[in-house]
This record gives sequence, structure tokens and C-alpha cells, in this order.
Amino acid sequence: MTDEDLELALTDLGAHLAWPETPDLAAAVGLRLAGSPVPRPQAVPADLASRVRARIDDLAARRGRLGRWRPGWRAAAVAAVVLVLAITLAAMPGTREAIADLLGIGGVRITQGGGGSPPPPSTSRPSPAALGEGLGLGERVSLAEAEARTGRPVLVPGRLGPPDRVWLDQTIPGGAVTLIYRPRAGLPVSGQTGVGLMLTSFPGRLEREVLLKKLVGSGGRVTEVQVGAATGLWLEGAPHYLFYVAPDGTTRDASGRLAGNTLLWERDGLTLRLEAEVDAGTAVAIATSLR
Amino acid sequence: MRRHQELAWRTAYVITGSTADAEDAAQEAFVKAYAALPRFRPGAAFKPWLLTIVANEARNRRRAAGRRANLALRVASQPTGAMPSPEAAAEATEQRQLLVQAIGRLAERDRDVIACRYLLGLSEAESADVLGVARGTVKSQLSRALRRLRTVLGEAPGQAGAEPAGAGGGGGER
Repeated sequence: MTDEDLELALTDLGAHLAWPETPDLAAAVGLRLAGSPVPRPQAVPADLASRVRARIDDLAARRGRLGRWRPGWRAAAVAAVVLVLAITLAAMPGTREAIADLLGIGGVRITQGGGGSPPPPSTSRPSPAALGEGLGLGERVSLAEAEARTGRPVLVPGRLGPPDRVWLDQTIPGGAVTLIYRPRAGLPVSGQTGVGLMLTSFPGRLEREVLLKKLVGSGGRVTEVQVGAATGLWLEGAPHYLFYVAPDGTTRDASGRLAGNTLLWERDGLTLRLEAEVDAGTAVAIATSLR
Repeated sequence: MRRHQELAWRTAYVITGSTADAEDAAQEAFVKAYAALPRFRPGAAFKPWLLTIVANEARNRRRAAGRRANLALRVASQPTGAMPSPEAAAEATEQRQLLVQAIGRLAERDRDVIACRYLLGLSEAESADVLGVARGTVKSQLSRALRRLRTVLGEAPGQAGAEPAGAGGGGGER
């Protein structure tokens, strides 16, 4: 047998192996990631908790592994998985598949930072004048250009009027459009972005490859909020990171920066992310004024 | 990233040879990867980074187990429609089975490098990450492993089976 034949045979073998089934790592990892602080129970619907308990019991029955855990873990695990499930329900169906990749369920994934000190914020804090420059938002375009190139109307919050700057990132499938508003009365400058408000929209159902992941630092809080007819998620209290996983499987952190208070919701097949140092009520009011 | 999950687990399985240890190792690796995500260099490839963590966890467990893992891989039965005849399908499956057994008789290091490149389908660079060696070393390890595999394949099946060290005891030069 020549080297070449052997390599061919091995390649062929690689394609015909019956591997043992990959266990559901995601669920187990999700449970194990449950660190303190435990998310507030009222942040999630009650029925989810029972579903999750059932799931955990199921897991325990299947694996017989929970017995090894410290007792406190179970409560933490329930809360954490409830959190993830709540987010799933609230978030974009289109990305469920992507998130399923990580945790076996869809939507935006939010994990409590738990343990370890949060990394230092980006070294070069953007100046207020930059209006989104250096945040990895793509290229600067006009509103009309953004609409022409994405082939969809860009939703603008009526409460704020026309944006001060528009960015388009076409490396996100379908194109991510970001509107930037300068700091102004009621919109303080964000320590993370250097702008008053940032609103990003991208197709939620088309970008199943794009995973939107947030890591909430310890102390972060996630609550469900109503944005018009949609259920949104409000993340506040701690800076978090944002990751995209590109179709090629590489994880891209567009900016390496921390995000501040953030509202996530879905509308017209788009996933929207509003980031501003405002309270939840203001964020929702701005979000519902989109047209 | 489901493929990350699968690949991570299979990588751990190849190294530990135990589904339970592989699950532990892969779980631990994911947990560590998440904890380390903030330190993950933006723009870097996620897969090799994750695989490095997985492989370390798996090797730790293999070391702790203190024995050579007996990797029990099976060959998928060939759908007969894919081959010209049922006989040809059966023969192809048998050939693969012989190859899998031969790989199982290799020393750990030889088996690992072959598994990385051919069974897991990793690139040379990814294999280097998993094996914890330089890229150039992967090349030389691989050619040595292929040479030994050919030798093992040259042995009559009965002969190899009759040699206890070859079946589970870490035979082969180290």
C-alpha cells in the first residue's frame, strides 16, 4: 500500500466512522455556567422555571450526574437556564439555530460573568465626537444609502428624529445598520460607546449563522420588557461583551468593547439592539417610536 | 457552533478513549472557554482555540486515568445504494474495519496524530494545537505514524490479535 493509498483509505475511513453520539454538552455547560449572582426569579415567567426543573430532572435521570453537584448549584442552575430560556423565547427565532449550536436552544445567549474579574474596558475610549467610529460598525453611509444597499427601510425612532450618523456593516448577512445619536439632554454620553444612543438592526431570520452573544458581567440584570407587541430584553447594571460568530465559525468581536445598558427585541423580522445610558422605560419609549 | 460541540467532544473522545471522560473533558473545556472568552483575541479563529483547551482537558484526564485508552471506534454500515453492489459495500466496510482496528493498535502518539488529521479532519495547524506540538512536528509525527500503521496493516489479523500488548497495552516504540 503506498502512502497515497493509505491516506486515501484514512480519509475515506474518516467519512465513514460511526462515532458515539455527541452528548448534549450545551445543556450541561449551561448548567455549569450558572454562577452567582443568581438572576432575579421575577425576571422570568413562572412556567419556564417548572419546564427547566423538569429538564434538569430529566438530565439528572439520564445522566445521574447532578448528584455530584453541590446543593446550591441546583438552584443556581435552574435560574440560569430559566434565564437562557426566557431569552430564547423573547429573542429572534432565526438565530435559534445559531444559539442551539452553543447551548442547544435558539436566540440570544446571555451568561452571567460569574467568577473572574471582568476584563478592562477597551483601552481607547471613543471620543464623543467620533460618533461610532472605531466601534466596528462597518462603513459610514447615508440613511438612503443604507436602505438602498440593504433593500429594506431603516426604522428610525420618531422620538429622536433623524440620526446623527449611519453605519452599515455588510459583513453581517443581510447587513447591520447602526444609527448613532449624539449625547444630548436625556441621552448622556455612554462610557462604552462615547455616543448618546446606538441603535443596530439586522435581519433576525436570515442570519442564522450569526450568533449574538452577550456576556453579562457579574451584577448584570436581565429583565423582560414589552416593546409594543413584542417581548424584549433589557440588560442593565453591568457592562457586557458582544460576540458574533461568523459563518466560517470564527468568533468576531467587532469592537472589543463593552456594551452598556441594552434593549434587545425583534420587529418585522429584524433583530434590534438599542444601547444607551437610559433607564428601561426611556429605552422602551424610544423603541416603540420606531417607524 | 454545533459542529464545535461535536468536534470538541470527538477530539476529547479520541484522546481519552472513553465517552464519560470525553464528556467531562469537553464540558470542562467549554466552561473554561466561556470563562476565558473575554481574553479571546478578537478576530482570531475560535475553533483552534477551543480545541486546544479541549485537548488539554482530555490529556489531563488520560494522564489521570493512568492507562492507555482503548479507542473503540466503529465503522458506519454502508448504505447499499451508494455502492455498485451489496458485496462491494460489505467489502468496503470490512476494509475500513481493518483500518480502524489497525489504528487502535498504534501507540498513543501515532494514533492521536492520525486521528486528528484523518478521523477528525483537522488541518495540520489545528492538529498541532490539539497535539500541543509545533506544526512541523505534526508532519514528521504523521509520516512516522503512517509508516507504523502500514506495518501494523501488514501483520496478519490473527497475529496482531494474539499479541496482548498490541491490543491494549501501549505497544510500539515510545
